[in-house]
Amino acid sequence: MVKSDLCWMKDEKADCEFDHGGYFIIKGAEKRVLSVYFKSAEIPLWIWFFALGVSSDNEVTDLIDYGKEDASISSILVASIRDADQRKDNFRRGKNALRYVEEMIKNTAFPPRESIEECISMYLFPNLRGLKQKARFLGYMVKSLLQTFRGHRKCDNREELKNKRFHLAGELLERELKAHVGHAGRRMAKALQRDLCGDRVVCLVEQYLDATVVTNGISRAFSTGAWCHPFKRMERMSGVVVNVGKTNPLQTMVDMRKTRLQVQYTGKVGDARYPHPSHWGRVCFISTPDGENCGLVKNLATTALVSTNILEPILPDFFSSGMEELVDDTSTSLHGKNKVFLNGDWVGVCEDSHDFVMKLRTLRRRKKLLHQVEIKRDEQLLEVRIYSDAGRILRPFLVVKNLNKIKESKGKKHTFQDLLGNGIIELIGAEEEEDCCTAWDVKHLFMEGKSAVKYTHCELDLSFLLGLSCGIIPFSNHDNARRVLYQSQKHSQQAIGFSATNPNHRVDTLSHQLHYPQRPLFHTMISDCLGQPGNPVSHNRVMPKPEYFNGQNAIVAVNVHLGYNQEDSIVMNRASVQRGMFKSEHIRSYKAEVENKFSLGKRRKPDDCINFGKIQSKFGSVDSLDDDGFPCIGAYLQSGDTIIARCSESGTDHSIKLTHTERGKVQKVVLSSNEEGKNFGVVSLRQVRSPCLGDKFSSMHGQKGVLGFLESEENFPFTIQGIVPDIVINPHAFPSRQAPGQLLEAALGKGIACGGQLLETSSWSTPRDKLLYATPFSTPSVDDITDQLHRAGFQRWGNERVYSGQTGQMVRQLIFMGPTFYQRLIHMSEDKVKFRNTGPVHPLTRQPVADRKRFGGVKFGEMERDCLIAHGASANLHERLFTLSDSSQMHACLKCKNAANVIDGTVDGSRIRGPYCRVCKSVDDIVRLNVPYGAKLLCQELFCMGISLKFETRLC
Amino acid sequence: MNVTLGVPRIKEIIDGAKNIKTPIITTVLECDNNAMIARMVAGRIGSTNLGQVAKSIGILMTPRQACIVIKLDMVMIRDAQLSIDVDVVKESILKVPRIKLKHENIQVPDNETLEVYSPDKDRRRLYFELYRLKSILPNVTVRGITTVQRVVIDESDVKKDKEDVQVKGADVVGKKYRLFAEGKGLLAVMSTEGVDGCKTTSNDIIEVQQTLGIEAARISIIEEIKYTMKQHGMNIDDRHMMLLADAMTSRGQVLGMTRFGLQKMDKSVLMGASFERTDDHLFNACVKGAVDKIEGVSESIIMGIPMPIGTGMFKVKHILPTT
Repeated sequence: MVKSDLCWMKDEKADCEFDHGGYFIIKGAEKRVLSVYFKSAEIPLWIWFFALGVSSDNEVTDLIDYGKEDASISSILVASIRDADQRKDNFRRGKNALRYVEEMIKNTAFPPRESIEECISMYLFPNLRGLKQKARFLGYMVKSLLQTFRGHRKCDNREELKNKRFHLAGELLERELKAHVGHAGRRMAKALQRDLCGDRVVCLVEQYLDATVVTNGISRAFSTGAWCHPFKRMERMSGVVVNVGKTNPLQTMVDMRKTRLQVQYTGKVGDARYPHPSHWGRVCFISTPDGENCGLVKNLATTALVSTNILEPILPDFFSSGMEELVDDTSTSLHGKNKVFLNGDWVGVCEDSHDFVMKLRTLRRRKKLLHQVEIKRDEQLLEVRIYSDAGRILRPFLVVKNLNKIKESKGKKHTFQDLLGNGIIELIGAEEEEDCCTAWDVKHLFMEGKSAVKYTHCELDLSFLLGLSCGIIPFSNHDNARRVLYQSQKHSQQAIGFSATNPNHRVDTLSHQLHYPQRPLFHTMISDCLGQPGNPVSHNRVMPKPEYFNGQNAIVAVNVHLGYNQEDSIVMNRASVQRGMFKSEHIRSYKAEVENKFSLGKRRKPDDCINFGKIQSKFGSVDSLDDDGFPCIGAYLQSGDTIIARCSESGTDHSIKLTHTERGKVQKVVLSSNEEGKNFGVVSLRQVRSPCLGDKFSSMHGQKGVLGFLESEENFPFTIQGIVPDIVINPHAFPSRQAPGQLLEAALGKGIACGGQLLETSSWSTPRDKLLYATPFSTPSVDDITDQLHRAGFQRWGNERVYSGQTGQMVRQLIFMGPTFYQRLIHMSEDKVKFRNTGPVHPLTRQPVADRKRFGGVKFGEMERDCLIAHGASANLHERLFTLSDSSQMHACLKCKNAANVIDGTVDGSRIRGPYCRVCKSVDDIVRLNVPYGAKLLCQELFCMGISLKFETRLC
Repeated sequence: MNVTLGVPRIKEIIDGAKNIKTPIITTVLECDNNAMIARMVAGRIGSTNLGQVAKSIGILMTPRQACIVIKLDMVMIRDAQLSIDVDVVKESILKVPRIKLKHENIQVPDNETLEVYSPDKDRRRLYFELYRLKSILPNVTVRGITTVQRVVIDESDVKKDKEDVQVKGADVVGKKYRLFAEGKGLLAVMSTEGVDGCKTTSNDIIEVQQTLGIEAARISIIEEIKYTMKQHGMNIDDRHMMLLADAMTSRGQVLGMTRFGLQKMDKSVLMGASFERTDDHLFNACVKGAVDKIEGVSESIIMGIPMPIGTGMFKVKHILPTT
C-alpha cells in the first residue's frame, strides 16, 4: 500500500503533495480496496441441552430463566419437548443425546473429522471452555429468542450500524493472503509427497515452495476485483477493487472513504438502502450514487473513524474493575447479576453494572484502555456489552465533564491526539452512543435556565454529519437534497481542477488541469480542515488549500439573455473566456509495447520481432516522428498521423495511429520497461481547450448547464460600477430545483468581496471579523447577509440596477448578481461530437457501427420508431431504417419460393455464374428482392436452425 | 381505503393481471340512506372470523372429557347487526376443509356455547389434537363471503338541490351510504340481499370479465385508466383508451400486453418473434406451417417494405405501358 510503513515512499517528498497514499499499484494501475461490510444439520434444542450435560427438564427451564408463568411461552417449551421426544426416544438417559447429535452431524454434506466432543468444544461457543458454561449460554440464547417473540426485546435491526462491521483493506488482504498461502502450502505438500514416494531425490524445502502461486493469486484478485467470501469457501465477492479516481484531489479523497454493502441480489434488498438513525455522524446521509447502487455504496462522514484490530488483551482490566468469572456449572443462580459480554462472548458477570462501566470509561479516558473499546450498559436486559473488534465506526464527541480542561491550556496548539489523551474528546461507537446524552452545540451547554437534561457529551460541529464532498457545499442545508446529492456525487468528481503537483512524473491515460484555479470566497468548517497540517495560519484560521476546490469564482447574473440560456444552458462572457476563464488543458497518453529481444529466445520469426522505428507507412503520415519512431516534443499531431511507429523486421507496420477525434501537441515522451521485461513507450498529447459551445459547467448546488452562447462583453447589461456578468443563468432554473443555496452563496460572496465589517454574532461567542462561513447547519442567517450587503452600500437582497448593453437604457427591473463558484466539468462537446455520412459497417449485419471513434452512427431506437409511427410518417421510417441503414438485395425463386443463392461455379457440367435455386436446381424464374441485409441474415440463420422461410413476391 | 394508483396500477391494468393488489368492489345499496341497514349489509358481505365474535375459546379438560369450549359474544354480535348464532357457527366450522370433524363432534349445550370434541380417539394424541384445533378455530369464517377481507362503509353527504330553496338550514340534506368491499367475489356480493346488483362494480378487470362479460370488461378498462389518471390530475381523451381497450378485448377475453397476451393476440409470427420469446414463436410457427402476411409495422421493418400506416396506407395503381 502506498505510504504505508513498508512503502519506500513514506518519507519521500518528491511525489504529489495531495497524495495521501492508501492505495495499491497493481500492474501500473492504481487500485483501491473498497471497504466491504456485512451481516448446516437441524437438531432439536432440547436434545442439545442434554448433550451438553444438563440432567433434567427443570434444570433446562431454570437455565432459560424466562416466562414460567406465561402460558404461551410454556406451551412453546412443551411443544419443543414433544418435538425432541419425537425425534429420538429416551434422549434423557445417558449418552443418547450426544450420540444423536453425532449421528446428525455425520450425515451432513461435509462432516467434520473430529469426534463429537472435540467438535462441540471447538465449534460450539469456542471461548467457553466448560460444557456447562455452554449450556448456560445456550439457555441465554433461548431466553433472548423467547423475549423477542413476546416483544420484550426488540429484534436486532439488520440495518443498524451497531450490528454491522466494515472490512478494511488490511482484513481483506489478510483473508485473501490466507487463502493463497493455504493453496501454496497444499501444493508444496503434494510436491513433497510426490518426491518422497517416488524414490526421487528430495531437495531443499525452499525449492518446493512456489511463491508465484501467492503472487499471481493476489495479483489476479486485485485485477479482477473478485475476492474471497468471508463465510462461503467457494464463492467470490466481486467489485471489491476499483480504480482510484484521479480527476481531482477531492475525488481521490472521497473515493478513499467509500464503502460498499455486499448483497447477492440487487433486487430485494429493500431496507438496506434506506438511511438509518445510527448512521448519524458516521456515514454521510446524502452522498450515495444514483442508480442501482443507491444506498448500498456509502461514504464515511467527515470525522468518522473505523476501528482496527487490537492485539493487547483487555480482560485483565475487566477483572480489576469488578467483574467475576463465569462459573462452570448450571446450578448457581445468576439471577439479578449482569452478564458481561466481550465481542459477543460471555466472559463473566458483575454485580453493579453502573460502577463497572464507570470504571472502565474512566480508564479509557485516561488512555489506560484503548480508545476503540466500546462499552455499553443495557439496563433492561441486565447486560454489559463491550466491543473491541475491528470494523466498527467511531466518531468523536466532546466530553462535557472534561471541558474545563480546555481552558487550562489555552494559547497552545492542540492536536487531535492531545485532546483524545486528555479525555476531552472521546471516540464513541454506534452501540455506546445510545447511552450518551448529547447536546447539539456547545452553546446549549451554557444556556441559562437549563433544561432538566444533563448532557454527557456534545457534538463537535453539526456539519460533521456530512461527508467530505457535501460539507464543502455552502448553504447545503438550504438546498433540495437531490441537488446536494448531484453536486457531491457527480459534479465534484467530474470537475476539472488541479490534478497533481507532479504532472511531469506521472503518466495518466487522461488528466485535466485548470489553468487558473481559484479558491471560493466563502469558507465552510470542513473546507477549512482540508489540506495538510503545517499550513500557514492566518488570524487563527487555516486558509483552505485552493487546490481542493475545482473551479473559479464567476460573476453570475440571474437573468434571461436573448433566449440563449433556456433549459439549463448558460450564456458566458466571451471576453472573460478570452482572458482565460475556465481555460483548461487535457493530456492524453498513448502507450505501446515492444517485445524484448531476449525474452522470446530462439523462437523469433522476422515477423514477430517488433521494434520502434520509423518506416514509410501507408497508414498515416510520419512527418512529425523522429528516427526512433517517437515524435519530437512540441510537435503538433492530428487525426491521421502516426503517433508511435513500430515495425517488425520484415517490414510490416504496427504503428499506432490517431483516430479522427484525437489531436494535440506532444508534451512528454517516456521510454521504460515494465515488470515482465517488455519495453514500452508512452507519448502524452496535450490539448488546451477554452470553453466552447456545448461544454458543461455547474455551480456548487447541482445546477449544471451547458454553454449556450458566448456573448460579447459590450452586449451584456452592466451595473453602475461597470461590472458585467461572466455567466448568465436563467431564473427558471431555481423554482422547481429549489436550490436557494446558490443565491445565498452569491449574496454572501458579494458581501465578502466588498470586505465585510466587524460583525457580532450571538452574545457569548467570539465576534468574528468577517462573515465568512457558509457551513451547513450553522450558517449566518439571511438577516446577517442582508445587513452586510447593506453596510457595503449594495442593495440588501443582492439585486443590482443594470443598464442594457445594447441600447444603454436603464433596465426597469433589478437583476440579481453576485460572485458564485462555478466548476467546469469534464464533459466537453469536442469529446462527444459524432458525425457520419456513410462509413464503416458491421461486418455481420452490414449496419452502421455505433462507436464514435470509428465514425459510427446515432442509434435510432424502438421508441424513436414508435414516434414516427405515431406521426404516420411511414416513408420517413422506411428511409431511416432501410435505405440509410442496410439496404441490400436478395434473390428468390418464383417456383419453390425459397431463397436462392448467387454462385459462381460448376453444377452438373455447366458453369453457372449468378443466382441459382438449389431446390429446383435451375436458374429460371429467379427474381431479385430489395430487403434489408438483416432480413437476409435472419433467413440464413433460420435456415441453419432448420426453419425455412418462403417468400411470396409481387412485382412492384 | 388504500387503492393502488399511479404507474403500478396502470401496469396492472395493461398487463391484464389476474391478482391485483387492491381489488375493491364498490357496492351500491338498495336503500342507501340508512346507516343501520348499511351496517347489516356490510355484516352480510364482510367475512367475520370466529375469533372476532367469540368471547373465549378455551380447552376444557376434566377427568371425563376433554374438549374446546367456544363462548360467543352475543352482545357484540347484536351490536354489529350480524345474524350469527350457534348453529351458523357449527355449520361453518364443519365446512372448513380438512378439519376432519363430524356432526357429532360438535355439541351445542346452549345458545351461546359450543363444545368441540376431538375426532381422534387416541388418548396420547388428544392434547395436541385439541391444541391444533384451537389454533385453527379462530380463523374460521362464520359469516360473509370468504374472499372478501373487509368492508368499509363510505358515508357521503347529499347536497340539497339548488332549486329546493325552501328547505332552510344546512346544505346537507342527508347522507348516502356505499360499501367498499376489499377482495374478490363480485358475483356473490351482487347477489347479496340489500345490494343493488345492477350498479355494483369492481375495479378488478378479470373479475368483471368473468361476471359481466367482455364488453363490460372493455368499459371497465377505460374507466379504470380514466380514474387512475384523474387522481393525478391528468385528462386523456377517451379515444386513446378506447383503442387500448379494443386491442385488449378484441379476442373475446382480456389479454394483457405481455408476451402471453400478445402471443394469443397475434397472428403475425415475426412480430411476436421480435417482441419476446423469439425461438418459441418461430418453432411453433414452423410446426404449424404458419403464413405471415406482412401487415404490421414490425414485420414490414424486418422485410424492408414501407409500413402500411399513415402515409403508407395507400398505394398508387400504375397503368403500365403495354409494350
